[in-house]
Amino acid sequence: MRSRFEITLSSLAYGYVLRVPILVCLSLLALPFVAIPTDAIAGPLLRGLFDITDQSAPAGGASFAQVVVAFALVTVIALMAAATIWITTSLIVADGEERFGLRPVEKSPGLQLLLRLFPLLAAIAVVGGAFIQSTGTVFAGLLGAVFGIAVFVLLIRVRETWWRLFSARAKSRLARVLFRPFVWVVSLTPEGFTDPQTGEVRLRHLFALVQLFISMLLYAVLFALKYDADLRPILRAIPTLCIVLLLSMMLCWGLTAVTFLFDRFRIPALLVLATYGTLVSVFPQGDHFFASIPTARTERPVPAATVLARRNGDVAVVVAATGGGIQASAWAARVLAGIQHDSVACRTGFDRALVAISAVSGGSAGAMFFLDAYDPATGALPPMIDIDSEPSVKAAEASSLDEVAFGLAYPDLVWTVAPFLKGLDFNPPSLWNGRNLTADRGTALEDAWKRTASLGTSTLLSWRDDTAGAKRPAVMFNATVVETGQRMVLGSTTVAKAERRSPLLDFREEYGDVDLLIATAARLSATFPYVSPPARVKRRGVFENAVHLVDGGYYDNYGTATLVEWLDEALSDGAATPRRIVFVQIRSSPSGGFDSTGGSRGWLFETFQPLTTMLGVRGTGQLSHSDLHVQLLRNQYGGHLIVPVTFEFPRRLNAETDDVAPPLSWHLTPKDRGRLHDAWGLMRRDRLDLQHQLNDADNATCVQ
Amino acid sequence: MRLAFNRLSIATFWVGLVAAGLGLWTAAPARLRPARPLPEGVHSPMLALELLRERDRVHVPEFVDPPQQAVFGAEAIGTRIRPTREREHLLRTVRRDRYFIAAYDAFLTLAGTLAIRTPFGIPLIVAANAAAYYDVQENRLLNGVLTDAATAVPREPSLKKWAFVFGAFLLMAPALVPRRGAIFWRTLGLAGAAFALVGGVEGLLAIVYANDQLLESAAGRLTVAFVFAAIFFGTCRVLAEGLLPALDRLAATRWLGWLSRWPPSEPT
Repeated sequence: MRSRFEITLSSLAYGYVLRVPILVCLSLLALPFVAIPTDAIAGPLLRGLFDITDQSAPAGGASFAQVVVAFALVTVIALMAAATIWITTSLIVADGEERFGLRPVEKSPGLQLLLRLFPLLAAIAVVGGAFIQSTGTVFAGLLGAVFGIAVFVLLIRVRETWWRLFSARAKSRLARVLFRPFVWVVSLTPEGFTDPQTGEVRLRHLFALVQLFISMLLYAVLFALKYDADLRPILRAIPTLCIVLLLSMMLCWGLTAVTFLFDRFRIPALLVLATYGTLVSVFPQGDHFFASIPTARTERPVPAATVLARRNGDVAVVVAATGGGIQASAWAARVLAGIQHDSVACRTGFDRALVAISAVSGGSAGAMFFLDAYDPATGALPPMIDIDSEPSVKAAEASSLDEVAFGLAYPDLVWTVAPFLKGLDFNPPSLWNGRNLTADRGTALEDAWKRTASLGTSTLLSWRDDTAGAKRPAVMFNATVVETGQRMVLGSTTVAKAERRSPLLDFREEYGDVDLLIATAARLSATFPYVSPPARVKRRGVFENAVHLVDGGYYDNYGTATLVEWLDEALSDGAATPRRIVFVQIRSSPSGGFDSTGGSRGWLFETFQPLTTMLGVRGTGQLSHSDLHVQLLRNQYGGHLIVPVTFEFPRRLNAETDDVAPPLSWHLTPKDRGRLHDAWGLMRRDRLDLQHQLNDADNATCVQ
Repeated sequence: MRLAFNRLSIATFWVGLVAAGLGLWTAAPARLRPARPLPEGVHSPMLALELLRERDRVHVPEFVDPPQQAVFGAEAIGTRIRPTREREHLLRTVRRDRYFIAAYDAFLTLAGTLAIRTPFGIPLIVAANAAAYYDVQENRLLNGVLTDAATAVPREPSLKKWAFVFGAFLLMAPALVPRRGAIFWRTLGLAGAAFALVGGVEGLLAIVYANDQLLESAAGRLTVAFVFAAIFFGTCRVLAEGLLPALDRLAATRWLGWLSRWPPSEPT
């Protein structure tokens, strides 16, 4: 006779063997709650996922059909993910007794309801979240959801039809090919898979296998559709949320299979995965690479003094743009375009006065789009009449979330499972150095940024030529070397080696025989943790011992460290003598205001405290060093030559919407774009100050 | 007798549900993030006002905007921060609070009625009504502070209110620990009782030691205790025989029955 305590605890053991579907279900259920509310913990990173209609039409004008398609797809894939959770749970509950020696479970209708209800609630939460976050979509969204439910019912019918076909032709070649690997695994460890009386594989496992085939088919169909999405605008209506749902569905299938196989032998699934990961890490092609262009040219980036000397006797402007995801990109582009807009009205010639930009992370993307707008023939910017519709601003604000998610769910997932296939190519034949080496989410992001024809072809060397010919301001994209923690500058100008007082590397000096696309350089500078992978140069093949580059924000998120050194070098030999240097800092989120939130305590807090402190110090330390460097530079050159002006995204726009943490993913919702618009309107004092520094006149009437 | 108890228990749940809804509705306008730290280090602007000390009264405009800004509320071009309307939001919460007071008073009174045969029943009803009385007094003074018409801060009635609320939850805890019943249902009650006990003791200590931060943390635990208690009362009949039989009954209904059969997990 077992005690009540023992019965209760042995029932709880099901929680362990069911951990994968339970975790996937809870993750999906919690996803909208941690992403959507104003102060949601993962809001900045995940809120954009639920804005499913805006992704297809960044201008906010998704057509009726696009909204219907978007909601139908999210609904059907959310229901398929729910079905996956339910099926995997059902199998473990039904055969847990035999496979793991657990207490038998009473197979009641109530249990069947429970197993279906929770996954269904998770699907409802996801679709509901999309309804809340996507604006102006009620009727079309409802229609799409109904359509999605209909397609799901159809897919379930398809499963039954396939099942009948398979059992009717059990000896057909297709059935053998599909079922044989499974039957082979079952023959190795039949407990829980087969009926002990007949020795036959239980039909529910084969039935579940058919559902897995449908899931894989859906995964493949979405790949085929998404692959060509740029060519057919309607395909842009396939939301990123679908990819995330598909990814969770595939993970649920894969990891449940691992736990079902190995839990019987008390081998932890994590150990199995870690062992596999260690084994396949011997393949060098499993690493991430960025593309480079071989070149015979030997020119180095333009020296700082040469660039600054163009403005001798006149006002020069230098810009440091901070990091911070798409918010930083959009804010940098908006501030630069906005200053140019003011400058046209005030006749201060900002485009000519601007000599160099040092950018980090998201700021690099914004700087890239702005500098791309320069006409290389005249060295001037086109008139910027309306900032909101300015192409560089729109490009910086456009979502890249979809491309990153696609890269993660398709190439990166496949290469993670089978890295040895990554270098394989047939034309020309190669085992290691094939074209797919650079196919990952980083390259997907980079491709998404080639939003103009010129960005598809512009390289560091071509922009270097423009800078040398005074046709385009110089640019320095800052990245960090993983192995040494050094800064690496990728740009059209740099700090000469002799002048360097900090461990700074220049890409062209380290890799003189290759050139990089501007988009590649910007994305290396913007390698936001986990969103983009750390990558090394693809130059002489996978066996070359090159360093990995990641986000420049690890070293200096403000972009000032490089710019201060650059200015110091330019001014130190006396060749560059501008009348005034306006040092513009573009900060995409409020700095300072160190709120003491507290709340954490106990041994768990103590365990992670060093990491928490290190991350906290990274922010405060970088800010104080940045301010100090700028101040010391000003003091070194008399205190009047260098004038700082800061455009900092305000802490608070208004009380009605409360504080909203800036987005960190590569997607802006319409509300985020509205906040950027409003924030620029609040910058009037700084805008006036900057225009005054450019022409020493009262510009109160020309800055609107 | 048992039937009457069950009916009263379910009525308590419904009143609790209404109280929860009204609580959310009442608190919604006051969910503000003040620009500056609040007195005594609390996080909720409303609680900061409730527990305001006389010496801190001069600092009210620092975390609540002056009334003229609420009236004009114009966008100030050229400044970093637009004027906010926090005072207006807080006043709205104070006005709504009367409905919430009635609802939580009814919930605790019904809980007291459920425990009327125990030594805790009548004290619980008395504590609930005393808390409601002082809450009304507190709101009168809060209104005055927010409109600059008050002669005193609401701290005294507020502390009395909180003392009775914490006391009421302590007295309710035994009612959440039944001797019989299915394990899942009893676990719900035990969890509610544990939160009520910890929150109640913590809250009373906070009042004794005049520690406002501790009081805020104890109030948070009472919210959890309230949720568990309401679910416990509401499920006394449904979960009487356990979770699976309850689910079986749910699976037998027309609305959810289909979900226990479709989609089929085995070939038909």
